[in-house]
Amino acid sequence: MQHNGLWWGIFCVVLSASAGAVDTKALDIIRRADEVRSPNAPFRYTVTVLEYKEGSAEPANKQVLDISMRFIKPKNGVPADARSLARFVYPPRDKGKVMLSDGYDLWFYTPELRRPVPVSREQRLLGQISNGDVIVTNFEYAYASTLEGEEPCGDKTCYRLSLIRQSDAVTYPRVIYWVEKGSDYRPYKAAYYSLDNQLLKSVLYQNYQQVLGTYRPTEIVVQNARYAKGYSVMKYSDVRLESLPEYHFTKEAIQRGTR
Amino acid sequence: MKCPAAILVFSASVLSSGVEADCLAADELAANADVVLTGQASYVNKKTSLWRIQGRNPYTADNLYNDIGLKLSSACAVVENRLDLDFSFYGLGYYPALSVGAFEKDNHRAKMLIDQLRLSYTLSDSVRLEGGKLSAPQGTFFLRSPATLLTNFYAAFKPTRLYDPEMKAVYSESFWGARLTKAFRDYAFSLTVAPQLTHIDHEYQSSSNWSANERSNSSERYLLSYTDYRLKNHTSSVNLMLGDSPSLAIADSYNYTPQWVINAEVAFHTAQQWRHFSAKKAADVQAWQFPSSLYSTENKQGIELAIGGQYTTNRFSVLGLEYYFQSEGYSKSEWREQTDFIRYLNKETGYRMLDRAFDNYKYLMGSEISNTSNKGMLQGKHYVNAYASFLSDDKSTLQPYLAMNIVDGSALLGIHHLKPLKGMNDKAEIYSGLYSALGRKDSEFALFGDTLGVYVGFKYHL
Repeated sequence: MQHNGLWWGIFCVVLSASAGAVDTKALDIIRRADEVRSPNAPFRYTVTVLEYKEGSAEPANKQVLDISMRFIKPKNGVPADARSLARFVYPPRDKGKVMLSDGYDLWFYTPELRRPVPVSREQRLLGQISNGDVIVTNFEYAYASTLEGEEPCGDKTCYRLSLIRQSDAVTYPRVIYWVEKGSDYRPYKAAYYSLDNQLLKSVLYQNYQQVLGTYRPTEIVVQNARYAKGYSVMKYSDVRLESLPEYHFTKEAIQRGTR
Repeated sequence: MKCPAAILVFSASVLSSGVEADCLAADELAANADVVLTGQASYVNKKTSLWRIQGRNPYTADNLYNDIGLKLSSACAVVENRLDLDFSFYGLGYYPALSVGAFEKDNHRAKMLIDQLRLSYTLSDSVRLEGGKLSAPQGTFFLRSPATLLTNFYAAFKPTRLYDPEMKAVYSESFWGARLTKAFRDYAFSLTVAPQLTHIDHEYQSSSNWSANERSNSSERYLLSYTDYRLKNHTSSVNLMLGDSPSLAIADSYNYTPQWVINAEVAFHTAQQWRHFSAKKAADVQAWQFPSSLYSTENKQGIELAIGGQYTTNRFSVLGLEYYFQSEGYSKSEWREQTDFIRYLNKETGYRMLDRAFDNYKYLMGSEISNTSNKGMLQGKHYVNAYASFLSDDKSTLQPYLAMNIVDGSALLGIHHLKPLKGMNDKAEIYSGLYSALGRKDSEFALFGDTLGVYVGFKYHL
């Protein structure tokens, strides 16, 4: 219940801000870019996380997760829901491990621990990738956005947006977000900053391919500012719409084995 | 085998309502398959104990064992988003270098375990019905969880086993039954039914030599469970067991911080949970009346209590400490009655028939005592358990542990090391370890002799 309240709170902040001095153009860009990054319906995908050490073309480590997203906007009395389930499928020894994300809370379960334990989104998963990075977050609801201007990005022009988190529960306090100008609103790059405005990590959205009717990034390159030597890549595949019953997204169910 | 038949009828009726062919065509089964080959070599040294059979030690002092295991598991949707199938089978076998002792003989050196064979039917967005051979959930405590009311018996071999920690849950026989679960974000409710399919005919044998149904479905059990996640940082649950032996358990896990969790569980039982030695029947033997059994379960109320703390680091290393108490555990004098009776039975009478009868009683006692721990139970009153799991950068883990009977000072301790091998597509792991049971000859953990075991093994995901 507290999560529903939280999400409603976020919606209310957004809506009330929309009615006031909020940058509606920025909000529109963020919303459209969110729709490019992920389908606007419950879906499932595979993410392959590859860690590259400095100077090496071959990944030093690999992890594969099978992720189901249950993202439901509040509509006609149906409460908002933002849960996801990440099943570890590679390396084979990790089978049975599960991460359950509920709003901004994250729980990790492995049979060795007997019970799901709370973990932070910032906690390192593999290489430069944190737990929270593998789960698609919706910028529209998590951040208040301001359009700062336009900048060249690669051979295109991008909107430069400043995003400030709307709740302390959001992992990164501030994000500078570049979205390609044009009809597609393709995310180009995001830079995540700490409270004291230090760059934490930057991500590049790459390899756009037709996925579920829209060109979407299928690779995200992550560079952690603290570990500048090397980088990590998240490759998305097997994206399909799938609405699993709510049962699967509970702490009870992950202890009984997931499908 | 009434239960499997019911499941077939159930699945047939569901299938008739519409079938997605992927599962039956085995595509999804192959995609989700997990096939793991495990091999292990171990050396065991056992000191002499109280027990003598035909005047000799019923255990080999030194022996080498080769163990092998093959796991096959997979899952698929029989009807998409409606009916799921998942299973997990294990083939196990071992070979000793030397002949095993009288107390170590198994009926078979190879067996197959059905760890899980489950059909899950989604009744609604939050309600699920499972049927088949189901594994009982493990509790929060590693030594013994009072709130785990549905316990089954050990299924593998007597003198050896695979020491991979993942096998611990597999070795507890899963049960034929059904479970109805209603799970929401804030709470979950479940009803588990484990019907009686047989009764135990061979109490005088170790549970590893019983049939699978004897180990899992020899009593009628209905378990009602409620778990609540609403209280901030608490996971509270109530379990009510109805059937042959009613019990009530209350449990709470409190996350003081995300890293620190404090677990507490208490269970109230209307009857004893394991078979106890009867001093009266022992006296009958000494009066030349020979009862068919020396152990029984009485309708005596009891309480179990466990409290513990666990610290999980940000890198998932774990440290834990537990205390466990059970009111039905043997007192010092009750335990002494049992060990004194073993000594009595060891005395040679000069009559061959009588000596053989006394040996048979010792077989019976050895099996009954083993079967108590085979059910996951302990026999004393007070215990502490300390454990840790240190995870290294190379993903290897080092897991030391120590369980001690506080009253008699006997202990089980050991250390397990698991190391994934680089290359081979991350499919191989090697493990090694050492374990020991220490204590006086008449203490709980050393009752069958001070033991030292070392092992090395591999796991390969095919």
